[in-house]
Amino acid sequence: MKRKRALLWTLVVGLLVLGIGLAVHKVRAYQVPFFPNATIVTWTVEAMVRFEAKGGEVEVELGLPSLNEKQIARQEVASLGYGYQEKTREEQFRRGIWSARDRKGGQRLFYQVTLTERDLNSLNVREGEGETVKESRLGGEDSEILARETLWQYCRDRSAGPESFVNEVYNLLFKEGERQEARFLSRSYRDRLGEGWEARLLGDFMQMEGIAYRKAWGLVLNEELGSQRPVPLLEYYDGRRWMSIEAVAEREPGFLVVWSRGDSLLDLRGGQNSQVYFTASKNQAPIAALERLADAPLWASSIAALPVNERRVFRYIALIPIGVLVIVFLRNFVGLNMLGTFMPVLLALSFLEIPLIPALIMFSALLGAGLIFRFFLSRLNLLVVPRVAACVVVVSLLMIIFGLSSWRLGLTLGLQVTVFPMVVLAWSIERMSLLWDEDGPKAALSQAGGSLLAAMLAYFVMNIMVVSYWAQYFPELLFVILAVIILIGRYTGYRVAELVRFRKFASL
Amino acid sequence: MKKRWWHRYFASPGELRELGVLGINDRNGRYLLPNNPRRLYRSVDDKLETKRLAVEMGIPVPKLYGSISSPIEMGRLGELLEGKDSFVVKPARGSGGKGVLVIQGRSGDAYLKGSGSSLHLDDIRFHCANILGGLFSLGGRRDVAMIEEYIACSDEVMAMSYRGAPDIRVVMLHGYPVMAMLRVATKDSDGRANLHQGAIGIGIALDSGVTHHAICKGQSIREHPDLEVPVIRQVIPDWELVLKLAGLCYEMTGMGFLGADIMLGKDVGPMVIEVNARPGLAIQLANREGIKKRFKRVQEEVIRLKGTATMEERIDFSRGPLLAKKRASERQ
Repeated sequence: MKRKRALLWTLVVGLLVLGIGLAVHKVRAYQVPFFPNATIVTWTVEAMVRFEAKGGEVEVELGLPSLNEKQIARQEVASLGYGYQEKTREEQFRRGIWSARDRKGGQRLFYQVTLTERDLNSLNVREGEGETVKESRLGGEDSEILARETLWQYCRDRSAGPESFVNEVYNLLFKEGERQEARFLSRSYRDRLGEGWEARLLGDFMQMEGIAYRKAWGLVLNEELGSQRPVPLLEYYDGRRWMSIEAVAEREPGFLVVWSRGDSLLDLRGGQNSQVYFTASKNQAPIAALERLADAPLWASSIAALPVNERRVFRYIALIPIGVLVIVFLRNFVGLNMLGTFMPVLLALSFLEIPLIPALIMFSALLGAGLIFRFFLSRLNLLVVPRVAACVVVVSLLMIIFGLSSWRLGLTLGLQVTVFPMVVLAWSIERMSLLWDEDGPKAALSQAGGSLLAAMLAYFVMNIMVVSYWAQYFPELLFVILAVIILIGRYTGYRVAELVRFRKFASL
Repeated sequence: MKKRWWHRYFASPGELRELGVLGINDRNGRYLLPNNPRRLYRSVDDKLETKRLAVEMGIPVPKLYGSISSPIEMGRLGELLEGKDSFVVKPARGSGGKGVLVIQGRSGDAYLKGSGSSLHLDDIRFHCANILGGLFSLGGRRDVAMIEEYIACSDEVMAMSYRGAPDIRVVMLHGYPVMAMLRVATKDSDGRANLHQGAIGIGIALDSGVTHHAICKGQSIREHPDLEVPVIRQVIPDWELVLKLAGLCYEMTGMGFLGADIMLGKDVGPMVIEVNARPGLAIQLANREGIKKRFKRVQEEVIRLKGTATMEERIDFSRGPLLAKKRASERQ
């Protein structure tokens, strides 16, 4: 007994020293701030180029953000055996060029840059004056010309300058669509040009109006998107300054940043099927600290050293123990009843992806509907595994129906549920219905409520900014969590629920 | 203890500790994990194994008619039940009385349940299939259906229960009976003797076998809510034998901390129904007493005798000094 206790305390103290020691070392040697600095937010943006090489020489040219010397940026290029150089083309458009010989099959190239939010915003500003462009008529099929002329005249009548004209055209083409000509043009351009037809169509109207414009490529600063395709943009000169308009009907929500300018984002020689993906990720540590961390040995490293796309996943992995800690606390100190041991953690994880209130509504609706179905199933006397499987199918069907109907109603809520832990939900339904049968509705509802409460608490803890910052930059603090959990495992005192349960004893 | 305003809502940890109330963390960390090694669980979690061990040691248990462990064996069911007017079908790994089907009689082809509803052989076969599929075991694990003798409950005790047979739970530490209660069914508990479903827990004095206190849904009661018969000051028949059986359960399983569930059979006397390796805490409420002080006395006694006491000596200790000390301390 004594030896066991000694072992336990040695372990706990060892873990605490290890965790806190590593964190302190990181703070002192690499100057990573222990608390997040909300004022200097930096973003790491990663561009990934993917293509298939044909088997000979390959040259890839990717448009890059145009930075001036003053801006501090940390950039990193990764590829397997490609030579890399940068060139600045006319009007200071930066291009990164990868080249290699004898390449065949799938290839991936990475370019990563870390910038402060301010510098990113300044990318959107374009200096200089636009050249004067003469109003011009464009050729093409007669029907296209006719449709364009009609719409052009229509928009001219409704606008007072380049900016209102462009907006009018944009709305007409991509938003309202009640004009038949607009629909005809969209269809015709799409069939003729394929991808990128929106930019061409908008540009044609600008040319007719005599507005100077340039193509550009942007990305959305939104961490939750994962990897995204570049957004084509048109920058136009309204007589005093450059403005920009997106040349797509729809895009993901978030702040749009101009990544590069020029007609093409990617030029490829010696390959095919090329695609560019962006991933944006927010850093709460200064660039200098990030740079030092990236070169640090493995034991002092952090998730921030991973490729941006993978960071998202690992951040959740680092957050799960925190949710688990909350659950352990609720179980062994509070004595909260829940369905399934760690089901609330999974629920809390999905809350991180979906806003809390819709997620709660969603969960309750799915649970309720699933429960009704489960009661129906229990009349059929099915065996356990097929019954739970049937429940999974019904839950997925319900989710699809929710998604479709909320889309019809103009809500995007139903579309975000893809991450909802379906199988876990099905088991919860199963367990809840068993409880309902055996211990009555009160017990079942109190356990479901307990799970929801636990999930919400876990979510709130995981959602604290400092906590997610530590999870990202100080993963060694997980040792501290481990020590705390081990200690809770040895707690033999009363739970809060027992103080209530045994209250009668006190009045004896 | 001094009355405080908060006692309507909760008791403070200090107060509960002073009264020696056992909490679930305490049960698991101090009594369950150190005293019940993992390898012994098989002998109690699998009721077929428990029954085999009990028969080996000559402990009275309901007779096993047969077991069905695979769908192929289902065909044997009719053969197994032939000539049996009453029997019990239950899952070998079930807990809390889940999946127990009691057939008390027969009329022609139909089997009659205690409630009077009748079943066909196909219904019983389906019940067995559910058991095999793991419907009643934790986490849906595959299970075995066992069919055993139906034991009618002795009349004195049955008079206190609303349908469903009552049973006695004896909590044992190191082979010493520490506390006992009788669990009887009510209308709310639907014939099952499960306390959190509304069954009544009745504390039994270890020395005399007389009931002294009862609770139902957290309230102290004196009479059965449905039958309106008194439940306290009732004498449990064959009390000595009940304690002896509980003692044998310890010898049989070797578990330092266990709850023995014992049924009082009509004409046949007490029988062991099952052994529970994780006895609950409600027994304290039924006896209106924290169990930890008794645990401490038992542990002192074990250390004093270095575990050499025989079963009879242990039971005598439980019926004498264990309680006498309590009285002495109460007088102070």
